[in-house]
Parts: sequence; structure tokens; C-alpha cells
Amino acid sequence: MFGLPAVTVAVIFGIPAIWVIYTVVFVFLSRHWSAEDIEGDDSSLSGPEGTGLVDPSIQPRTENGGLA
Amino acid sequence: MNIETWFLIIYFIAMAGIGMWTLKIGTKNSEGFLLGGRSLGPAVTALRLQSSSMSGYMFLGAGSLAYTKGYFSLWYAMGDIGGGVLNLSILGRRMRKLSQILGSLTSIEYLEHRYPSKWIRAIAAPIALFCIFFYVLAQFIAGGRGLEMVTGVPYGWALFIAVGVIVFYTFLGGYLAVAYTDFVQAIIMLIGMVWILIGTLQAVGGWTAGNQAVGEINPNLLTMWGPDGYDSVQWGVIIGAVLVFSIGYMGWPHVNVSHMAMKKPSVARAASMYATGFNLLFIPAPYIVGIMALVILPTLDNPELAVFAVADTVLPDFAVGIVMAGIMAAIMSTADALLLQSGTIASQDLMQRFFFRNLSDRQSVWVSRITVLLLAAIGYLVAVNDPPAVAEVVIFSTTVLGAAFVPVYIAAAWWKKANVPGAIASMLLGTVSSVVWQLAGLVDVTGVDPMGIGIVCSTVGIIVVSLATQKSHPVPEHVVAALTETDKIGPIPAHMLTGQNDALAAQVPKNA
Repeated sequence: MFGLPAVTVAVIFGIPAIWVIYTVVFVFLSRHWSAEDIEGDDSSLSGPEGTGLVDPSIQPRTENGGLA
Repeated sequence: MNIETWFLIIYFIAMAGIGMWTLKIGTKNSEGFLLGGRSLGPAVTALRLQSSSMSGYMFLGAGSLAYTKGYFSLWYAMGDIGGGVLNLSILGRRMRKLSQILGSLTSIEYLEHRYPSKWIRAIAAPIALFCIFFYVLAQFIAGGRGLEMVTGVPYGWALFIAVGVIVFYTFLGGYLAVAYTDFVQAIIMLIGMVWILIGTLQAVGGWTAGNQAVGEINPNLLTMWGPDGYDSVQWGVIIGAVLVFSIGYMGWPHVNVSHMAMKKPSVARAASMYATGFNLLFIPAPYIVGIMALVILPTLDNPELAVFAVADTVLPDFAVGIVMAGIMAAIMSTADALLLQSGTIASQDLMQRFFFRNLSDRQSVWVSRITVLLLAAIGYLVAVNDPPAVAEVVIFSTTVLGAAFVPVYIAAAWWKKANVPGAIASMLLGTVSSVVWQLAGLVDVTGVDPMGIGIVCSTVGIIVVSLATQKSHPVPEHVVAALTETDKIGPIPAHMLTGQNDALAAQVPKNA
């Protein structure tokens, strides 16, 4: 087909087909994600005054579990 | 001045116009400059993600690989087509939500918040900055070469103009400018590339006739095993080729920042459809054009110019102008994203984190802009004096980025036991193994791609070290709580939001 060996045709059409199937399955399985859209109002999402910025005056209560 | 040059000038002005427009809304504060105010919908998210990761490689490197290796080169495209949906489905929603809970503004800062230690940022930022510099260097070279070919201007001046335009609009509006120009550029790229493909297939008498003509040059070029046939096939290299542009994407900080800028976590869902659709139409095209260039231009001196030269040969003048604008769009959309990411790493992840803790938002934005300017100047000097091959630089730098960061980004969102020592071990093992593998020439000896070895080392590193150090370095409770919340589908509770929970709001440890 298309003047190409069968293996080449299988690879260049088969693998993209797998990605299409993956996308369709992902979209189907994630259909309930819209439940998260309730949060819509950005001002309520990003902290003080909707800036989303960390307030540098606030000090941490929790020590890290790492190497610092 | 030829018609191609006029098209390019119009294109440059249009892109600068978008930068000016976003100046009004993109630089009010760090979140505005760095994340576009977390306001992007699915189409912009998907096309920005794709165009910023496609780069000049698609027009120079892909064409070159195809011209020299035939259909074997399509292994890279096979992974690339799924890169967007893989990234969005695995990281998209979780990274958006977790970064908001943790109050992270940059993709490197996100890592430090998830793995709370200054060493995370101290290690991640230089690795990312180093790789991104080489990646952006490749874009400069590609841009200079493209402009040189279209306009006839000497390479040095063409490079200067390309770098100048990229810096100009990156400098103006920050992430929003980059996101919207990337969106427009993705559409231009797609139109340009499909146009070249159609023109090419018409010139060779159709795909089947073109393949038959290629087969007469060397039948092995039609196989997936390379010009020397099945006996010479290296499966390790093929696996690496598929990996580098599929799961490799998930380790690129300049691409992952797209997740953090989404308007809502669920944007990832619709964005995945846009990403796969765009990739199916766009990605195979430059490889097919590169292969057909063997028939149209069998004696091409520089294979990197295969796509450029074919476009110049098979398309009418006015179409060449539009196509060249598309090619420049690919190069510039990646370069601006990379430059912005470099500036972000320098201003937020290094300067503000380690040296000047009290930088205002405005000062931070200016540090970012100066870094962009500085890197562009250094990049220009390197690119103008001794430009390396675009494909080699891109594949090497993206391989190291992928090997260093893929496991830490995935584990950050999915594995509650992933801790600081595990993340550090993973980043170091991934970087060192992939660099050593490449520089020591072990690819040819073993037939294993550095991406494959790097991913294996960094994955084993984060699993083994995290499990071995759970008692001595437990994951902090507030991080576990944030991850538990990220597992759930639903709005973030008020007490988890930045600024309302001390532990989450101030991620930087007191003594870090």
C-alpha cells in the first residue's frame, strides 16, 4: 500500500491510531472532571485579593521532610 | 525586496502587536507575567503546549533525519504525536490543582514546594537553565538559517533580526504574550506545513509515486529500519526515539508550565483533543517532505535545509512567503517560551529564592527581562560564531531534560511517598547518566539511546531512595494533604487555598 512495505504502513498508521484511541478513552474517562469547574471564581482560588501569590510575611509551621 | 520578505515583515509586526496588546494585561504582577493570570482555555493551552515543544527542529532536524534515514525517522514522529495527550492526561489536571494549592508560580518552584528543600531548586534550576540555553540556541540558529535563505541577508544579520524579534515580544508581555503568540503561530505552522506537504506530493506525482521513486534510490529508506536495513537496526535507539518526544515532554519545565497556567484543572481534558488533532495533522508532514526531498532535490548539500529548499522549489512565491512565516513561527514560538522560562528560573528560582528574598513583583519581572536579554546576547554570540547542528543540540538537550525531570514531575503528582532525597537522586542520576552515555559514545557501542538509560536511572533512583529514606525523611503532612486533595475531583476547599493555610502558604522552610 502506498508503495511502502507492510510493516512501515502498519507502524505509521497503527501507532497514531493507538494515540487517537488513547485520547478518546481519556476524554471518556475524564468526563466527570467538569465537577471541578464549580470553583470558577478565580478570586477565590488564588489567595489574597485573587493574586495567587504567596504572602511572604507568613512563616511556615511545618518543617520539611527533606535535606534542608 | 521579495514577496517572502514582505510576508515575514507583516508576520513579525503582527507578533509584536500581540506582545503590545498583552502588555496591558500580562504584567500586573508575577502571576500575570509568569502564568498569564492562570487564565488560559483549552485551545490556547493545547496549541501553546504543542508549538512551544515543536520548535525549529521540526523544520530543520526532522527534514534532515528524513532526508538521511528515510522512514526510520518517523519513529520520532510516532512518539511525538502522543506527547501532548500523554502530558495532559498524566500531569495536566493534577499539576494545575496541586500548583494552586501549593501556591507555585514556576514549574521549578512547584518542585520545591512538592519536595520541600532548597536543594531541589538549587539542583533543578541550573540543570533546566543549562539545557534550555542549548535548546534556545538551536532555535536561534534555525531562525537565522531560515531568514538567510528567504531574504538572502547574510547569516549574521539574519540571526540578529530573528533574535531581536523573539526577544522583543518575549520582553513585552511575559507569559500571556508568549501563550497568545504561540497559539497564533501554531495555526500558521500548521497551514504552512500542510501547504508544503501538498505541494511536495503534487511535485512527485503523489505519495505512492514518490515512495516508489525513493525506493529506487535505496529500498531500505522505505522501511522502518534505516538505510542499512534490518540487520543494522538498534532497538534501543528506536525505543529512545519514541520516548524522547512522548514521555520526554513531561520533563520539560517550559512545557509543563502550561498546565499551571490553565484556567481550570479540567481544561486539560478538552486540550488533549486539540493536542492530538494538531499533532496528527502537523507532525508527520516535515518527515514526509524530507523523504520526498530525496526525489526532488537528490543532491542537497545540507540536509538540514531539505524542508526549506523543497518549499522554495515546489511552491509559488507568495505561498513560500506564508510558509516561511510558518517556519519562523515554529522556531520563534519555542524560542520565546524557552527564553521566558529561562528568565523565570533566573528571577524566581534563583535570584529571589537564594539572594534577594524581598524582591517586589515589579523588580522580579525586570530581573526576568534582563535575563532574557542576557541569554539572547550570549546565544547570539555562540550561534553566530560556531553554530552546531540543530537536530543534535535539540535531541541532546531535550533528552537530558526528560531524563532529569520526568520521574520527579510524575511522582510529584501521583506518588505520596516520593520525598526529597528520592527527587534529588532522581534528578542527578537522570542528568549524569544521560550526559555520560552521550559524551562517552555509548550509544553506538550499546545501541541504547541516552533517553532510555536516563529515564531508567532516574526512575529507579526516585523509587529506591524514596522508599529507603521514608523514616528519616518523611513527606510533610501538608504535602500529603495537598496530594490527597488533588486525588479528588472537585473544588479546592477554602482551608487548602494559598493564604488561608499557613503551612501551605509559606512553603519555604524557615531554615532552608
